[in-house]
This record gives sequence, C-alpha cells and structure tokens, in this order.
Amino acid sequence: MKYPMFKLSSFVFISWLCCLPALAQDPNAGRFDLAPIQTALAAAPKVNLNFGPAMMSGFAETVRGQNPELAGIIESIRGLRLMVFEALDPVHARAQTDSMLTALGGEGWTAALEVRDEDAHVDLYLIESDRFVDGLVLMVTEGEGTVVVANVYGAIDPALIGRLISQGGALDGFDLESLTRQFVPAADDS
Amino acid sequence: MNGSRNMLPESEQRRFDADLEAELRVCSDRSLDDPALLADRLLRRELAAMAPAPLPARLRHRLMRRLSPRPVWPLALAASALAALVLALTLRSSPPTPTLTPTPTPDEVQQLGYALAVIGEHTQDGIRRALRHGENALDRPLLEPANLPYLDLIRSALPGPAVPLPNPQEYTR
Repeated sequence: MKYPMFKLSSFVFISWLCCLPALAQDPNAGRFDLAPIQTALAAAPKVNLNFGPAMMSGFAETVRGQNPELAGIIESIRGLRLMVFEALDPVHARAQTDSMLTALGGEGWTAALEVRDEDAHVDLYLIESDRFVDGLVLMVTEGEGTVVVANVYGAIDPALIGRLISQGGALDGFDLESLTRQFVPAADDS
Repeated sequence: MNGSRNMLPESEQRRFDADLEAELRVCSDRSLDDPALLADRLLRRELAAMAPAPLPARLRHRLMRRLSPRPVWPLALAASALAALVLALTLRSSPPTPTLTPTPTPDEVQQLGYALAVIGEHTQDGIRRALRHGENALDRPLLEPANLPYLDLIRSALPGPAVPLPNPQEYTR
C-alpha cells in the first residue's frame, strides 16, 4: 500500500512542478503601484493618468483598421500609469524617489538607465521575462521640484524598448497628433 | 456405454479398461505401483500435516499493514490537490470572459498621447544626458608635448582621428 501511495503523491508533486511555470506567468508582473509614491511625496499630482487593460484594448481596436502595427504595440501594453508632481521640496522629493528606486532594485527590476545630473535624475527600470519586457518604470526628478513617475506594463516587445534606449525614437508611432488623427474619426463615427 | 463398447474392437476395449483401472487406482490412492509417485504422495501428506512456520516479525507486520483497510485521507488529500491543480489550470487557460471593449473618447486619446509623449521625451532626455556624460568620459587627455621626445612618432601610432601636430619648434630632443 505504501508503494502505490508514494507513486500517487509523486505524480501529484511532479504534475504540480510541471505546471508551476504556467501558474507563475503573471500578466501583471510589470505593474508598479504608484500610490505609495504619492503618499511618500505627500502631494497631489498635477497629472494623474491611469489606463488599464480594457482601455488599452479599446485604443488598440480603434486604431487597428488604420495602423495594425501601432495596434499591436498598443495591445502589448496592458496598462499605463503616469503621475507628474510639481513644486515639491526638491530635497525631500529626491530622497523619496531614491528610496523607491532602492525598493525597485530589490524587487527584481533592473536599472536600464541611470543619469545623475545636478539639475535632474533620470532612472529607467525594466523587469523582464523570457520573451518580453513585462514592465518599465520611468522616474525623473528635476531640480525645481518636479517629479515624473510612469509605469508601463504588459508583454512588451523588447525590440521596442531597445529602440527606445538606443535611438530614443521608438515612440514615433505614439506621436500625439497622429494618434489623435487616428482616434478621432472613429470616435466621431460612433 | 454399451454402444461405445460395441463400437470398439475387443483388443482395444481391453486396453481401454486396463488404462481406466490404472488411472482410478492412482486417483484413489490405493496400492500405487509407481514408487516415485508413492514417495511424492507420502511427502505431500507429511508436509500437509506439519504446522506452518511463523513469519518473521517484520514480514508479518508489513503483510498485516497491507491487508489492513486503506486509510482514505491521503487519497482524498491527493485527489483534492489534483482537482485544485486541474481547476486552476482550467481557469487560467480558459478564454477570458468577453468584456465590452470601451471606445476611447477624444479626450482619452489626448491623455494617452500626452502620457506617451511625456514618457518618450523624458526617456530621450535621459539618453541624451547619458550620452553627453559618456562623451565627456571618453575625451582624450591633452598632452603637453614640450617635454616629450619623438611625439610625432607616438601620435602616429595612436588610434583615432589625426590630431594636429604641435609646432616642431617646441620639440626638445
């Protein structure tokens, strides 16, 4: 009796091990909660934008007819969050953002870009899976007390991030005017 | 029987009867003619009369455990774990519940465009700053040639863009 039980438990255990990778794939792996930053800075953001999966799907579906490539890029983004704070105490703001960046590094995020100028700190952190960039966090602190924090997450093509880092022009397709031109007719039709 | 007896020849019938009698004798355990068969029969009888030897304690314990009723809880535990696993995988692999995809308003399009523009501009600004620092770090140190002998030969051997040679009047050899 002992031997069959061992076999059964081994089977369950092995099945569990085999399925762990599937269970471990979290679509929100690159999501970074910006709320603690707002709390730490003790200020209301001047700009606070938050687009989740449904809205990103909506954007993608709207542009798919005119620009399938752009739709694919937007579709690969599961969520986007942006906060812009202004008129903060620069010393306090920099201390809080540095603390957040240290925490990010401890959570498996990798610094892709770190710039320390006297008038600005720019940090770009990425978290990756085997095939995709699961998320990026951009944190900018500027001398006059401005803090920009953004998080983009999803299953983002690393080539997009590579173009962004190497050329700085990867977001050409996200040009405001062209996007608006593409969205507005559809919105007018509805 | 009579029919079959009548159908066999007399000699065959006699041989059949003799074989039958011998077989009945063997089966009935009476006056066995074959000594080997008799010895085997006696050995079997002796062995059957012997009391069985007790099993070793460990073997007996193992057998008793195997023969005792099977505890149900490990099986139930394994089955529930397996069911939970299957359920989790099914839920994960099942297509998401169809939701109504919202149609963005022009304001939302503007907001998305603004967000992406802010992210792009600051990333590019960071890259520009990083490149500027990199260029500064890669600047070649300026050499003061006045007291370096054979400077023209040294410079010609150095990789990189040609650097204008200093005035030969300054050489001190």
